[in-house]
Amino acid sequence: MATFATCPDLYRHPSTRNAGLAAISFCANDNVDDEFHGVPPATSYIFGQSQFLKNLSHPNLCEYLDIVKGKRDRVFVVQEHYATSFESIRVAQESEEKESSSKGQDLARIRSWATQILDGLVYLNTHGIVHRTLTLANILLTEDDVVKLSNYGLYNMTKGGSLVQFSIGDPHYLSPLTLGQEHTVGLQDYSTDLWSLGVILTEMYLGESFWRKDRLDVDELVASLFSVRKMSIESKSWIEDCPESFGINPVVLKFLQTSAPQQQNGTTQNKDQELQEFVAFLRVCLKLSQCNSLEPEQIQGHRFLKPNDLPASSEDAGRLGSQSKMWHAKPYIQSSFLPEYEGEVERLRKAISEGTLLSDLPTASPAKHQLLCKLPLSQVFYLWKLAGGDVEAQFRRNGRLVGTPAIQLLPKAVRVAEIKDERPPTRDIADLFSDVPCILTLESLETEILKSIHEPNKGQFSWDTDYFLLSDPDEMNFLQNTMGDDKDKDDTFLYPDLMRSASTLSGVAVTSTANAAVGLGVPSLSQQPVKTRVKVPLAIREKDLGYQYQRLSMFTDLLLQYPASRAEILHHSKIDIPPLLRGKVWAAVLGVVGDYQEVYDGFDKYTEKPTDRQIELDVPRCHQYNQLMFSPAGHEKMKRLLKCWVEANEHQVYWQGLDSCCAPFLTLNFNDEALAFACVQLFLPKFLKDMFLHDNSQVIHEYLAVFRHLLSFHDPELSSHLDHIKFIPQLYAISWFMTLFTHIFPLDKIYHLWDKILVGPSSLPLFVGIAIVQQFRQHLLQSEFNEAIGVFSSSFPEMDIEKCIEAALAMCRVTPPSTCWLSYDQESREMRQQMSTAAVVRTSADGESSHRHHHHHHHGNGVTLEQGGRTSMDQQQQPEQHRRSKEIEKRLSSGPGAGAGGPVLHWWEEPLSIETMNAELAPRIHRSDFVRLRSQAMVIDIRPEAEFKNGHYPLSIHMVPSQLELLVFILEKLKKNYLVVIANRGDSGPEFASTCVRFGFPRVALLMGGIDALRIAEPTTTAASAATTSTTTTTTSGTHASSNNGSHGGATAATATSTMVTICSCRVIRQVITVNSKVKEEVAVLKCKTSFTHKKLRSTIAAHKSD
Amino acid sequence: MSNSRQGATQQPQPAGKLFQFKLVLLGESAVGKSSLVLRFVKDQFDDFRESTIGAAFLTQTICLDDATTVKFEIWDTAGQERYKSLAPMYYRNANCAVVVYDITQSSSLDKAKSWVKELQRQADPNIVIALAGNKSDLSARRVVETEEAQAYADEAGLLFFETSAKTATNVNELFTSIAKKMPLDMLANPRPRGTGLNARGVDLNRDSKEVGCAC
Ligand SMILES: Nc1nc2c(ncn2[C@@H]2O[C@H](COP(=O)(O)OP(=O)(O)OP(=O)(O)O)[C@@H](O)[C@H]2O)c(=O)[nH]1
Ligand SMILES: [Mg+2]
Repeated sequence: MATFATCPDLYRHPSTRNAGLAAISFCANDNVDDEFHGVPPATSYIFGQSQFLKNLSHPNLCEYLDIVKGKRDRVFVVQEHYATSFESIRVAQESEEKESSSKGQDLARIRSWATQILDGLVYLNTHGIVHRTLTLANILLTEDDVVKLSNYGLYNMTKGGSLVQFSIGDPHYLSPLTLGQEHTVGLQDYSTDLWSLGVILTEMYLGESFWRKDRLDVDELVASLFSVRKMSIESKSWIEDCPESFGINPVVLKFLQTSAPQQQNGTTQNKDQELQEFVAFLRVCLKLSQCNSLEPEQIQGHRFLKPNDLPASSEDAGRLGSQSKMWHAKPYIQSSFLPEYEGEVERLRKAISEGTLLSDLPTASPAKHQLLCKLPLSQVFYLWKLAGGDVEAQFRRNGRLVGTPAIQLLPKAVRVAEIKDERPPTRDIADLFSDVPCILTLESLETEILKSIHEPNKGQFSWDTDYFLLSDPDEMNFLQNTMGDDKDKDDTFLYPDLMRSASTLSGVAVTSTANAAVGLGVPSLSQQPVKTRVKVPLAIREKDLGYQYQRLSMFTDLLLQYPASRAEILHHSKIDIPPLLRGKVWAAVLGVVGDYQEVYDGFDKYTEKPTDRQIELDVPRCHQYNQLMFSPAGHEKMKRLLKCWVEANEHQVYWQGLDSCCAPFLTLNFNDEALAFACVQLFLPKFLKDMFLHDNSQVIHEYLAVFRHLLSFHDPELSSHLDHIKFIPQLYAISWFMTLFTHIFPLDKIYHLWDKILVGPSSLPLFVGIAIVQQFRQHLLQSEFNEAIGVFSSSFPEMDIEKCIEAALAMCRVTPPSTCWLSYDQESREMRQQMSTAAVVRTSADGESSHRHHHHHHHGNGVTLEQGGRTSMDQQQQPEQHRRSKEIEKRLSSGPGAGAGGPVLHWWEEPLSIETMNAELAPRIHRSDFVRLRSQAMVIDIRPEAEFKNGHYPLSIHMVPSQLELLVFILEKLKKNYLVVIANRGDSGPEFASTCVRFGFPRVALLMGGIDALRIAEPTTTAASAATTSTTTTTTSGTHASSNNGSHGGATAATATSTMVTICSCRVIRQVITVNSKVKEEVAVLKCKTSFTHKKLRSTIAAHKSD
Repeated sequence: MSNSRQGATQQPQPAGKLFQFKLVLLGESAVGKSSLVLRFVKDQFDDFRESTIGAAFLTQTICLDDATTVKFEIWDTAGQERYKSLAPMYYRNANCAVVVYDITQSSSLDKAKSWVKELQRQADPNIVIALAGNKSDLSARRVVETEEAQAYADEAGLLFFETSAKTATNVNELFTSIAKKMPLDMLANPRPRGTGLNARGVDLNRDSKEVGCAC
């Protein structure tokens, strides 16, 4: 099942094709008295509370698109809008009446309307909403006569009017029972809308107003309502005995009374019977009963609505059930499974060019905007804003914020029960509420979008650089996928799937109906790494109308097909993510699948727990500058989310900071807590592994130690300086990594930062940390301890996130993954094991666990079988986490070296102790990485001379550690991208590497295991080669490395040769390898076909000895 | 970013002696440690200040008299019990500590007492400890009586203040009296230059150079 197929923000109901946008505005109570600490302002309550309205979706309701807080307690509400309303029909009628004698509407139309209005009301009721403001003006009609109720959220979002100074509802349509009703009761009283419905239908049928027109004085009207109520309490049917003095239009009263149903046998004409049923229906609506009033749902089955002689289907012509909501013209992912795809695209193209795309829709009034009519309304509104639209400004322009609206009619009396709030209105009542919608015009939007798309120079703009792909031809790119298409795609977090074939990618893009609609053709993504593409800053791309339009339509299409489209989403997300769809795109990137709502509902979020107290203390302090997080609804949601997390992760605990980590997900999925939770559940294990274990200090300290090494790797000068002044990461970086920066950056920056982190390798945050430190490089280099720490004592208001992330990616790309291995991290543990040749055969169980996201492969997996009924996400996560925390416990108790029962590691592959790591400045690399980067590395061997002479890595330079200082200038001349140190076990390798860092050599690393690691044969069948080998010609990692670097291999060898000769001739080191032709040959052989085996090593040695 | 700080320390003022102390704030979560620091350092109050994770660092300089300036390096720690294992890293070598509780939460005083105990056992034996009963503006919700806390402070040999970060009551007083209680005379002898955190302590070789008074 497509996970997001039914999300209201991703599809457009066909009946809305000509919808417009309109806004209303009102002022909430100003909370000047904050003597009670923590009472939020009314606007804040409204803001948080009303977000859920955006999630309501029904063919007979106008969609809520935005609820915005303006200045001075003002709230703006943006809704779907139509020009035609019951009111406009009545007005038109009244002017016609003068000429013709026909009044009112025919009964069939009334019936269809009644049915649709009830449908809408029942839907509202099931979501706990009373309309309460049903008036002629709030019932809108499409060109195809589909009813769209509007403003139905006003009463609910203002807490029954208690948060505003004006009354809600027009007394002409307001049920007498609402007079003086407490809002707590009113908010639950679904029956009151039926009175309004009765009045409205009467008026529409008769073409007469319900109340006498000449007596429109509001106080009188209210008095009448009271009389009606009093009477209805006394007598059963007030309609029968209603005196004229009550002010009901005599025509109306007569209609309601004289047509009172009498039992007539079959003799009556159909028409009369219908009419009688209608009156009976109205009388049901207008019946007032204090105790057991009917609710909309109960009268849906009324005879009037179900005439026997008419087939229901034709009667329901204008009524579009929620079943028919999916008309979305699907894009198709091109794949071997969907061979008909080409034809489909052609069909779409043709349909678009002929303008017949919409002809297969249930109803056929033409769309005004070919481009906009297919975009979900929330996206239309978003683009309207991007095009410069501003709701508040629009109001000003229309003079709306100072007008004198009809609301003046509303009497105070309606609010009698709320005397407690007797403060005189601080503003003119007209200023408080305007129920006349302010139209947000869409006329020019479509042209502007097209203009923006076709602007010159947009070619390079529309598909921007993929920073994962981008690489310097002279540099390594460890992020580049070296796997072919046949490789399991779920390993994307190890090796992002960048090499997917271009046709696959463009295939999806082109089918995006919207893109096709404007003839954009195929957005092409170069398959090759590109260096020179001009990058348009993200800030500009996000503001660009045409670009965002394209991105929105493409991602909408992809999301509708998720999870099938996951790989494509992942790919496109690496470029950028349209802000409006970020919540779902993140979920897709993380791999949320299955019925996440059910999972969320399954956890107890209500029982009191010991952690509640801390959560209670933290939530009101969490990102409170954000309106959603500040709102009471936001607090409630956050607490539930955290409690749910505690409940769901029994092996972890709530640490302060978890709240911050959840905030981005919650704010992006404010109306879908379950999705936010599902995201958190996938996000934390991937990026904050074990940070929330009860005892996490090992985890944190190891993470920080790796961070320190990586800083040395990329910025040796800064790292040695910080090391020298004892400015250790523990002092400043804990909150960075524990919250993945949410604690130091505001959410708007975090969204952009996480956009990249989510699609990147799990080590990326480490590089972001380095990039942050480097932004203060100059300052830090001149600082002593005190000043240095002062740099990090505030948050970073000026931080350029995009620059940061670019710098981080640039470093990440050239960093051998093994330098980032963490002993507690499943991913690196698995890599460690995969790379290890000690494990000749990997157990199948272990193989399984490395594919956490590949659900299809897990059917029948013994681990998950007992979890029947849970979603696959759950199946994967729960046992996995459980197992891991068990392992970690075991590990903690038995100390380092105690394997987790997996394959055996070589001694050098065992994780280092944190003390050891902290004592060293340079990271260590695994030989699998060494093999990949060796052609770009200067390799220094510091073993005793005799051993070196006995055998060594062919291109290595021998050096006595103490000579380093003398040789620095020469080494600098031999500039290489990497410097790898080879030493004996227990020898001074780490110190030597650290010294190199202090001398300012970048990218220094110590080879794990030194010469021992190179002596072990690299079996061709191990995971090491499996992970890196995809091309058909190479079978060993040794040759793979050279193929990876293409033609550079030869050149590098030659350079290496000459450099060594240089060294020889300098006579600085006597015992360097003398490169004779035999060794040269050896290198060549190594390069083209053989693995770097023990045997080869020996033959090299032999060659050397014979020299 | 730290321009103001540098500016302050670089103005030469003939008679001034600058003493530098490391001060650590400890106490239960949400008692107002960060708020006290913010009030002291920036004279601000924020109802919705984020909770502290790990630790945060700030400095503030005060003048005791014409001749003496004291600069506090303030380590504001995380209050949640779980972060306790990190605390030694911050209070190690601290010259003074402010242990904070919330007068509206009786449990927070117990927590404060246990911090005092730990400091007296583990920290520098000469550490000066002050007890701060914060949120004194919320007198209506008070549950810890002044006398009770005062008695405890006397018994344990602590400075004691009831403070309010919100209204600024007693905040400067708290830090000033700590400064006054520091054994300034004893620290007059220059010591070898410190090497970072582990030897932060009173690093007079560097710090006693004559610099200006920042206030
Ligand atoms: N009324 C009042 N509220 C205060 C006072 N000091 C702090 N607060 C409030 O108490 C809450 C917690 O304050 P923080 O300063 O964050 O507490 P903390 O001790 O640093 O908390 P952790 O970082 O979790 O250890 C915040 O909402 C503050 O606004 C005060 O003097 N009076
Ligand atoms: Mg704090």
